[in-house]
Amino acid sequence: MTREPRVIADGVSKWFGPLVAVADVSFDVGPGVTALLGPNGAGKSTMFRMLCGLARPSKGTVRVLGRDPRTDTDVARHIGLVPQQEGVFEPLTAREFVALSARLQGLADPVRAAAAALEQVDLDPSDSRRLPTYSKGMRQRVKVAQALVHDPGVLILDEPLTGLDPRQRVDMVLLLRRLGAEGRCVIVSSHVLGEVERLGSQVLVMSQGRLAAAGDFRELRALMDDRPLRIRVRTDRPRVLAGALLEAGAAVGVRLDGEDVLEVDTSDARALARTLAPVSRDRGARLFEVHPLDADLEGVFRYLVER
Amino acid sequence: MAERAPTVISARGVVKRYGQTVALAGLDADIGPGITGLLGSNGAGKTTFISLVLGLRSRDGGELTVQGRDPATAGIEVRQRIGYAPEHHDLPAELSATDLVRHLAEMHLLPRRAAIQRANDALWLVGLGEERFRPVATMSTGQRQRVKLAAAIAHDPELVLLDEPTDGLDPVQRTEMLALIRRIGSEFGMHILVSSHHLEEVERICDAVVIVEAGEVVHAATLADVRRGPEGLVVEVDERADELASVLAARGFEVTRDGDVLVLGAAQDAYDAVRDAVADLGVGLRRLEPRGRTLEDVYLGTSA
Amino acid sequence: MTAAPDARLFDLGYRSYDGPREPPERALATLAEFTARRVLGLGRGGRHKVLPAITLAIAFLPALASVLFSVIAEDIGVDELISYGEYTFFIGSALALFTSLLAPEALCPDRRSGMLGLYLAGPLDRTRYLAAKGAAVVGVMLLITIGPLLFMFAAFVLAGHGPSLGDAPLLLVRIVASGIATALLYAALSMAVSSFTTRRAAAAVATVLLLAVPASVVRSAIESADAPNALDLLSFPFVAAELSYRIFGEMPDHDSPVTKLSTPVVAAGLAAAVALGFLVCWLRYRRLESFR
Repeated sequence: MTREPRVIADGVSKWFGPLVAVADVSFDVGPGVTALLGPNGAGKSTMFRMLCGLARPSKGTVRVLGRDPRTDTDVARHIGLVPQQEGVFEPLTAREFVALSARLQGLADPVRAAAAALEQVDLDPSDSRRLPTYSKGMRQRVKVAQALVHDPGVLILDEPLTGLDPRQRVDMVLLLRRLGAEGRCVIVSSHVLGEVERLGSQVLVMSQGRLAAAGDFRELRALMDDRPLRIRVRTDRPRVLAGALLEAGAAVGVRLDGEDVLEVDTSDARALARTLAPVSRDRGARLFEVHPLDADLEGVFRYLVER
Repeated sequence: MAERAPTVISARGVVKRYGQTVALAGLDADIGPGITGLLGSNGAGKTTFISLVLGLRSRDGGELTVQGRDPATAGIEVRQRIGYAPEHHDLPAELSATDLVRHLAEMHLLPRRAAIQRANDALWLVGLGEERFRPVATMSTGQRQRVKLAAAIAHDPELVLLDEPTDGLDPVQRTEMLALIRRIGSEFGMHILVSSHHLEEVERICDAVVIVEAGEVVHAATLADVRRGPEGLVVEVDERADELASVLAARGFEVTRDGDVLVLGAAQDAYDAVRDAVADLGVGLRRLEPRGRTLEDVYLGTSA
Repeated sequence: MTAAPDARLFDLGYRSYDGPREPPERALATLAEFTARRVLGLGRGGRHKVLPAITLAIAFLPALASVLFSVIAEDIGVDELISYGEYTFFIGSALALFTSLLAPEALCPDRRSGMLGLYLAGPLDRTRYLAAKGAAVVGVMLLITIGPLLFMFAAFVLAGHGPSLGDAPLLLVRIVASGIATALLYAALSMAVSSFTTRRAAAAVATVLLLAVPASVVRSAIESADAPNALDLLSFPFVAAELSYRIFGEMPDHDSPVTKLSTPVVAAGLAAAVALGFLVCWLRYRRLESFR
């Protein structure tokens, strides 16, 4: 790979008659794992189809590795797609199935490439069982192997964790992280935010056909400055600490909850973070827990889609 | 009204075979009152267990009682008191949500008038009040999940079985569905068994979990037991994490690092030491949390 | 603070249901009624009422015509009008059409839509489910196997052509018996066919074929290859029609193999077909993997 794999959308819109599925979306995604999030109906699937060249933007351009995936059939060799639907699985073995894909891609040694791809997803290439007998989790991994066999720089996966049990989910997340760390551009869509957080912090959030946010989700939270951040503090002297924080100007509101919990609202998260330890020490208050509410990906997401 | 037995589902040595395959190999479980999560890998036997609880299949050995009745011999009586929301999203296309829920409530032996009223109430409860006259075919996945839930609770069952209730839902919808399930379990006094692949979600709403692997229960515990005792302290600062780590290590604490996050081994005096070290360094304290054992720790530990 | 007796807050929260609940058998009646209504297109758009309505019209037409003629043309002898016994023969196509609509509509969509699973997760098992569906199909069939005959009976009585007071009860019994036998046969066959596919159109076509094909094959075999007349018991529509004739003590004026069989044989043939049809349906459903 001489060039860093990038997927770039520029002013992309897609409409179907009067229905606007995607409206003026622009982003630039590079190596690593980027999660595409959004409520159902936000246009994510349509966007994916355009990224893979399966649909044509009504307006704007999509460039994968600098080329148009729809017209440039050569760039398809550099894209691996794992679609959401269950494929129809022929009664082949995993290796035969992936090798078929390798042949279609025109690889020199399809069987060896297939074996390598299967090993990457932790499946046994010499397994002689046929695909229809495979469990859902294994079939999912075969789909990923098939998308990997031609060593693409760009991988696009639509809900790859669906139907997987907890252990399989953990394994798949680790696999995707590894693929991203290898320098590939991996774009994943998922609804399970706890797992998305483990994939990495780069997100694209779509809502109502538009791009609502792009970037590191923790930085995104910091940008949402019209909403104060709420922090939960557990301490042995909540009232004293509450007063002290208000006095120091680090909080705009405080709420006592139970014997030892304080919820602090602040419009300046950094200042509060800086002030908390020193002020507590000065007033002899012990700190047992400091926990920002709504600063996780779920909080960011909800804020973005409910605007 | 009959006394509710303390254990809702009780299984002892339950065996089920399909030809040569052993799906359940002597399963023991006491699924008590409240909301219980049923976890396990694909093919571990969860679906089979649910079909036995419903009396839809017969078992090959062991004992099973559901609210004091044996589903193999008293299947009709067992099923009339259970609400079930299957995993798949297939629903009759033409029926309106309200007709479907009403009909199923009537099929669960509610008199007609009561069925009409309760179907209405159930659909409002799950947030489909305004859409209730629409045909199910026009409904999105999120709406269908809620229709299934409404159908499961409309006849006021004592036990509700939910199979992957958040499947296909986006993040906001998942939170709403979980809150709804929690409400139904805690406020309305129905016992709920949720079969799910999402550990975080089960952790959020369940009172207890049962983990099934290879046809047996490998772990059963209340969430309180799962979360027993802090096993360390998580500290997140906004900069100079290495310096903080060195300071704390110098004071004798065991420290591991993951980016801006430090994890200390459990120790009572760690709290003050962290506070003071952070104050001395003048860095921002983003997060301070005891790190408890999570459901994921337990689950992965059992299925290793 | 003293209570304000004129102001009250009402609790809108969830209410548990403490009222009476029906016995499990009620589920059968609920399902049968629901199915019967859906099959006739009641409670659905106008589109679904068209075919049932047309078929009902076709089935009642001969009876209507009979009654009109008997009223208009006073000198027409009653025997020149259509008789009770031959009615079943006369409306054979309407019966075939109706049954090919009914049973597939009653059985197939549930398997396709996941509804069967939802039903079985309630106080039903497969046998009860089929009993309810069977009751619905037979019940709706009775509309055209008994309906037109009762209509004729009532009209003739009112017009003064009816039987004497002494003969009336027997006639009514015959009408009901003939109607039930015919309805059972068509219901059993069409339900058996519908248990093999989830596609309504396929089941409808297959039902019509099951009614038509054995009949033509058997009859040409009897005629050309001299096969035994008893084989004509596979000509299902003709068996039903023939039994109708016999119940009313009439003989058809056309000559066919089944006419040569004795009444007990014809009755046994019909009963066997009914039993076999329901049995096949039941066995198919027992094997179904409806739990996912």
